[in-house]
Amino acid sequence: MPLVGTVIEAGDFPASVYAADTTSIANLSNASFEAGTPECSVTFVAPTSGMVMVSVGLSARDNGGTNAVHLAPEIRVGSSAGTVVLSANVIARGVGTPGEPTSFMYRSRTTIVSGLTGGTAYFARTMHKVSSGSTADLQVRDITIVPLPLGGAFAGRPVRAVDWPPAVWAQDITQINNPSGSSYQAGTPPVSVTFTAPTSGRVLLIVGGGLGNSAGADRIFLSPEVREGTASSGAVVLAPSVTNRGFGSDKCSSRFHYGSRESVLEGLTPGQTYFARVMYAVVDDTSGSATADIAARDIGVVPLP
Amino acid sequence: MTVVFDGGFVRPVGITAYVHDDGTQANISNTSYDPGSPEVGVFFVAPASGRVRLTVGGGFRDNGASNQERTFLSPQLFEVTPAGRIEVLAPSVTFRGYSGLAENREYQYGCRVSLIEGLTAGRLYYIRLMHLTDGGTDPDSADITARDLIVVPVP
Repeated sequence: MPLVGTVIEAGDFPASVYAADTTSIANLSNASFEAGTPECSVTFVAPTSGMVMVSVGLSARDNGGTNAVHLAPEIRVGSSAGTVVLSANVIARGVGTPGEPTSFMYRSRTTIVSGLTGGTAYFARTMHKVSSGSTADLQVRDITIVPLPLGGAFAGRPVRAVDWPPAVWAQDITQINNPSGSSYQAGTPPVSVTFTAPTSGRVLLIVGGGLGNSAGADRIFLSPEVREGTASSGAVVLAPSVTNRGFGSDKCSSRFHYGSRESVLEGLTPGQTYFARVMYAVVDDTSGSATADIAARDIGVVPLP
Repeated sequence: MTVVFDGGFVRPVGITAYVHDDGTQANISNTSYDPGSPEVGVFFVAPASGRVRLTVGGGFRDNGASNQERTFLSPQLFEVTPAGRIEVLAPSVTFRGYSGLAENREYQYGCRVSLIEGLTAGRLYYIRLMHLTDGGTDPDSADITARDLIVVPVP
């Protein structure tokens, strides 16, 4: 981590940025990503860590069909004419509707981008498309960029390495078709990270991904599990619970839909190593069968000051 | 505005607030925003940057046999003064809220992230979650089974 053993510099903690646009874009027909008019964009300076949290949110519907609206972030160097460093990809980093909602719905997805160059200015914007048809509408687009690590600095004492362990993130976009089983399982391949608890003993847990692809099917839950140590054999610190910390699929979802959920885990031991992974379960609803699929599974752990 | 600058004094960092309630708000009938019970809210002091990262989320459904409706969960922000609370942000699903879908008979879980800017450094604020059902046509069968609120002060 760049911060350990070095003097704190302004560039370690650049500003977070946010933009939202409420220009209604009706009857979407573009099946490929476009920025729309006006663009919903921000510029930001990458922190020393090269890592940022990227959140994209939307409000969309289809009042004439069951087409999904997708919104994903694009990042370029400098400006809208700069080199693309992250291209729009709904499966990996976008938010999307399941298709069925005839009224506007609101949600977002947060992922963590790494490998940016500290001190470099970047341009980020939302890109959107529709799965098919020309009856879906987009009402709100928003984007939030938060440089990592979080926080400013600790007052009154020397900074220690454990104050800012790095954020970690993992993702797998191997599609899992028709998973079953009401007990939580890690799946193949497992999606896991190891992280060091910060001085505060608190971290932000992010789980998300893409679910659905079968209207009325049994729902799928993606929930975080945390264990001591560096492997799945460690003692359980946090058992998966969708109600408390998980992302769950829309019951109505003939299309894949994308999003995330966040929570704060407290009481970890500073400096201790932990193992976190995404677990999934298929709930046996009173109607439906296990015909829904998983398009993506994400997990992020961000130390909190 | 930048909080941390080369050669500047080290400032105390803000504490992340996390409030979570997994009680169920059943058969929601109010079509105007209401905090429900218990109220999910937290006080915080605005950091030097005037910016906080906000997460609003939970679990939502409408399991009725007819007249299914959306539910909105949106943040309401107040500045706390000696004279009382002054509303800074009215609850708005458009900008920072999450919605349950009318089409979901079973619970769905997720969140929405945004950034609040322009707060006055050092002042005390109170933020809480408000919810409503947007139709109000009987029977009222929309439920919320979890509400999340996370406020992260950021540079």
